[in-house]
Amino acid sequence: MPKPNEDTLYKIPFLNLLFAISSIGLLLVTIWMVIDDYSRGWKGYQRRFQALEAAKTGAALKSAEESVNPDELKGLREQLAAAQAAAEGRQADLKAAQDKLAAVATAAYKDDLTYRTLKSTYDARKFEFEEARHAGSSAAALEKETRDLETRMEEYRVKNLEHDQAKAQATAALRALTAQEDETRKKIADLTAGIDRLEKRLETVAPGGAMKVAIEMLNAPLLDFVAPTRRIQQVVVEKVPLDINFARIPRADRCTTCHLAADRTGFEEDAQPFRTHSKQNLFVGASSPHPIDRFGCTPCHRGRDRAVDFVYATHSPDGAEQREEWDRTYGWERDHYWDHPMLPKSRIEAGCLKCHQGVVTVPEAPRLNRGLQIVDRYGCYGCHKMTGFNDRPKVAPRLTRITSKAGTDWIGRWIKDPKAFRPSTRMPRFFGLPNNQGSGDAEREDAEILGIVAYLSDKAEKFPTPPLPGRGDARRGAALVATVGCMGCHAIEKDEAAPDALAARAKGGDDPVVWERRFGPDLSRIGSKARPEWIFQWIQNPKAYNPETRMPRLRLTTQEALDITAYLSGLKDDSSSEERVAPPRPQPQARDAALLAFLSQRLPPAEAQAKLAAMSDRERDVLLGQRTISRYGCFGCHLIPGFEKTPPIGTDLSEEGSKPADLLLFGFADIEHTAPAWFYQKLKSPRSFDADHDAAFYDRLRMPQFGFTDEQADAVTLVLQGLTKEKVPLESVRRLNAREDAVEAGRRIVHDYNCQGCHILDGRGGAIRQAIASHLMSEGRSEDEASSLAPAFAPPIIDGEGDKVQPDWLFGFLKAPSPIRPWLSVRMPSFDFSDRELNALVTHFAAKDSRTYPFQTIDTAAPAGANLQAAIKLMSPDYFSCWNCHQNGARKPEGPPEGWAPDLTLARQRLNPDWIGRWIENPQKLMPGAKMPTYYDPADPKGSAPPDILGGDPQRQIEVLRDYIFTLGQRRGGTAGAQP
Amino acid sequence: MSAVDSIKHVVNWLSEPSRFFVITVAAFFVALFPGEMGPGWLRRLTRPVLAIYRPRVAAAMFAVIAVLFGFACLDPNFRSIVGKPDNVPIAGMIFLVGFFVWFAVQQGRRNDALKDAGQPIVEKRETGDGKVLVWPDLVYIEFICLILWCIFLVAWSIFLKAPIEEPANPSKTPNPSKAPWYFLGLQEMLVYYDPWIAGVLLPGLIIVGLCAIPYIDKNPKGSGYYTFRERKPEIAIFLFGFVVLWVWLIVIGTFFRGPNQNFFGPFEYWDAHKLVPLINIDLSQIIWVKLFGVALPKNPLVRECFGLLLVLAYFVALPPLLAKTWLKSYYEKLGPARFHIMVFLMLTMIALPIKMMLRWTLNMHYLVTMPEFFFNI
Repeated sequence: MPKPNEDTLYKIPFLNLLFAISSIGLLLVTIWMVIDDYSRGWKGYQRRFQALEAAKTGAALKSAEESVNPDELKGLREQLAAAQAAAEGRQADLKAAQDKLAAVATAAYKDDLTYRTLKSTYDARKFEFEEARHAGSSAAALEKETRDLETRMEEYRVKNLEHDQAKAQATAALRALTAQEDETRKKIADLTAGIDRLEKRLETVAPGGAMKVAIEMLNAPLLDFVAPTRRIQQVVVEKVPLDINFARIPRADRCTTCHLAADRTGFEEDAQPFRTHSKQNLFVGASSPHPIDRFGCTPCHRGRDRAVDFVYATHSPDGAEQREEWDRTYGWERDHYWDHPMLPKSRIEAGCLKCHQGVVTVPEAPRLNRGLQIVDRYGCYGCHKMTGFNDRPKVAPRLTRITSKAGTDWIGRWIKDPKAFRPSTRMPRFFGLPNNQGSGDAEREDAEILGIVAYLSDKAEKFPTPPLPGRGDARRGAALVATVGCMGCHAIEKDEAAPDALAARAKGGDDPVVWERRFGPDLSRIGSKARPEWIFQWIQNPKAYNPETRMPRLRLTTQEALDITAYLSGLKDDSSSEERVAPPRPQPQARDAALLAFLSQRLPPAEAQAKLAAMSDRERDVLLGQRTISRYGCFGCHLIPGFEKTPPIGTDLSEEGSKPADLLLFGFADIEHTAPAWFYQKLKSPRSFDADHDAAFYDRLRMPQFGFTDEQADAVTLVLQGLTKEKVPLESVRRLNAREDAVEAGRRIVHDYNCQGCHILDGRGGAIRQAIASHLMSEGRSEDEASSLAPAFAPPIIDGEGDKVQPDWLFGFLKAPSPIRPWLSVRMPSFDFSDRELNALVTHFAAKDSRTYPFQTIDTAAPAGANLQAAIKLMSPDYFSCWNCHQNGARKPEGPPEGWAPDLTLARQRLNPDWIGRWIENPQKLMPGAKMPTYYDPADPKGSAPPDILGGDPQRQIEVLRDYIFTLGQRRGGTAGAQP
Repeated sequence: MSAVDSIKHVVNWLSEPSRFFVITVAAFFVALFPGEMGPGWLRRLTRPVLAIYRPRVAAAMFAVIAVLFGFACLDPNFRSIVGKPDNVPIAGMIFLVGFFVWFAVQQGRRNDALKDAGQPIVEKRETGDGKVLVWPDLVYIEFICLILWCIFLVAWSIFLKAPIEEPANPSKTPNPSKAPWYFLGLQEMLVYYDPWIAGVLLPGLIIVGLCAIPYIDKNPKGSGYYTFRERKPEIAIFLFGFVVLWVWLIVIGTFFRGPNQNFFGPFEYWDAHKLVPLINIDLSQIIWVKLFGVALPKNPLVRECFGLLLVLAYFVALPPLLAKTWLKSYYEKLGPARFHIMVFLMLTMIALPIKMMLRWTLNMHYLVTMPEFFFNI
């Protein structure tokens, strides 16, 4: 550097000072940069996890050490010392044996080396020789050389074999001398195997000494770019790609960078991020259906796969409390730059739906299933297109003949506020909601309601309801309704549920009646709604009035139908209906104004006026009704004349879960601006987004108020969150095999016809037991008694039905049920299934129990002679006393009715013979809680079998019983399913 | 409404683009030529502004502006826009450009004053022969600046993380969709002119014009030293193009253009639902339909004749007129070729603010619109 001239413009010492200061500054910010990098969150987590793992391994080591019996170890060590001492005496022998082995090994190595050298030379010569011979040139010399090498090779090969033998002998000799010592050593090693393993593990997890220094060097600031041991961990998920709109890219899930124990056991109790995944058997685990190396984390959890920072990974808090905690701990804020934020813990089931589609229930996702159930029951898909619900039938009854069923004044009041009449109804409320509370709105809505009524009665066709053929007895009717099976699907809640439970429900609490019994409407006030003539027709043959109904026939006699009609039409509301909801009153002015508004949308005002003036009062009502039905989309749920082909009015929800919050209209609603918060608000208060908006009535929000409870709204929100646009490759989607497909198809029908209202199936259902118990209580039984007796009077549990019965019998039975348990009042209804449905159901049961369908061999031989005698004896009161409970053809059982069991003479047509055998052997195994006594102790069948029959052999006894039962009723029996 | 709220309200009101633009242009010329422009009363009125070229006054002014800026940051709306990691450098740019423009003009004015007093100018005094040593006077200082700049950038990158935004989504584009900050001026031009003008012609002319400056500028003065008086028009024209038509537009694009490309005041919430009436109208419609009350002629040339005439007059008739009147001395000094090139470039430059004002005040869409030929001005 040249010495600066004195004439420089700036003072050099000052510049030097500036240079020095700025250089120091640069050094400082560089250090700061390194520190900033070194202190990134995930590195800290890895350090903490290392300490945690070391502590855990140390603790495990300690407990392993403690679990070793010190006396045993000491004894072995003493033995070892003794053996070593004993060996001292044979030092010379030992030395000789070792020398021998060493000498043999040396010789073997030397000769083996020679052999291998010869072999490779031989291979090379042979190649040359073959080439020369093929080329036709003189190959004699090469041939000779090859043959010589061959001879020498063979010589050494033999030598090697001899060496091997010698070595084996020398080793054996040496072993014989040290045998005792070796054995003791091995015992010690076995005893301390666990400790050794843990010690090695601890060495890896928390190395000591030089290794520790080396590893710390690798992880040191600034050096850690070379080969750090603390590094970002990632699982690349190719098969469930990330859709970044223009392309689909593999996910790189870096969650395990911090969640280091997610895929390891032993950290179940530790705090996050170091906790083992809570469902190892279902997720993450290598043998689970969703192993981490195939599915990673974000396909289910969502979130930003590549992020290693708490906030950027878009963790989502579960509730306000956690949100505040995260804000304090992590400076959490919502990351608006990621469209699929992580699902909070309570909403994780939403992630299932994108792969698990086309199934009635998603395994192990109870809340999601609840949501799907609600969507299905409430018919959201009537107005909104939703994946998985495309071909579902309309949820509400057809209105083509409504005037034959109910009076127009009732219809008007019902439309105005359905829940005022029937609090449990699924029919939502369209009128009188917060966005129609302005001046004139109430009058207009009255006019609209009356318009709908006018339209429906104008278009309704006549359904003949002849006068009742006689008088019924309401008391008998009440008993019939309570016992014949109506209560599997219906409830009469004003009689059944406690008033405070009903009051709580009205305020958004839980429903006091079980879900299955909400399948049909609550009958509490049915007499105020339906005309007796209609009820009489309907209960005898519902499909005559409404071909789409799922209500079955119960094969009622005319008198029974009359009794029930008498009872049901007596179920009227005592309080004045005016008190609950004021009936809509004619509002000609409001009606004309609304009609004019509709007409003026397309026509100039003058023409609209003229058109209106030309219409009669009735015509105006009907037209407003038509416009209102079309605006509110009533035809989404009901079949309405004139709207048979009208497309649904709601937003397509098939990809709703992928909709960014920006595309949702929050209006002035004071809620968090996230899609789930919006869904929830929409479900709870659908019109609230209109608040403070100034909109003409036909531009206001139209979604009706369903009155969902918090729990219901939450479950449906979960479904909406799950309906995403993500396209999962087929190879990653859960695909059903033929058997599972059959199970699902049947399950659909089971759900559609509410079989679980009466039967327990898949571990749930049997709702009718609730009603049977309350009927028993009304007959004077105590509550405990009633609930313990109810199962005896309830329809059977049908889990394992496919295993139990013959498929062709089942087909016939479902088509035309005939009583199996004639003493029960409850009847298997006639559903009038189509053949397609019947086959699906029978296949469903067969597939569920892995039985063959439709044909199978029934191979039993009628017992004779001693066997026949043995069977009859076993069934006699001296032994199993079968006829005490089982019906025998027309003969009633001898015991009390609570214990009665099916007619054994039907067994031949009905049951699978192998099932009978297994059933007699251990009924509890096939149906836990079965009433059938267990005659053979499963722990000791041989000991518990009657010893004096067939030599006390339980298998033979069961066989003859089964074969005998198969001969019962042989002469009487007709063919299955032939009876009406 | 509190006093602070009223002030915010007034500021928001003043930020309406046409007002804000007029204020900016007026402030620009007053600050550059205090007491030198317009009629006598205006000269007297603006003369005190000269004080800003006194370093202490200027320092006080910068301090006051910085304090006001700090106060403004207490407003959540202002803070959220200014504090956005993308926008922080633009906020810095306002101060930097302000300082350096002031500094350059102040240096020139100081030299002018020294000359008037018959003293040697600063450059002469410092260097004598007008030369300094490359080492250390240039390279050493550059090196120190380099280090300081590195310190600043490293610290900045630690404090403000580069934001990673969401993957591009055609069904959900960012609102507002903005160009990188250095192109916000261009993007602003696209609001007023067709892409072929705003995106191709004008940027091309900017580059051509910048290249042409040394050939048009025949004024030999001011080389190697600061001066203001000897190069007033040159400095004013350049600064108008740079400060008003480039930097100001970037600032507008950054801080004032909100969702849906609407204008928002600095203290206004960027409400994506804000609606602004925007019915733009073409000159031909104004004249034929609104003025004459007849339908638009079918023939595009007839229909657009007024606009075409106007544009022709602006670019063809105006230069000779200027040569004879207001810019006569320049015409004589530069000669016809240089003069016409210069005037063409200047008129093109001024066409931008003219069109902006027409849009803001009259909702003028196009002066000439011939979609038949994809030709709109």
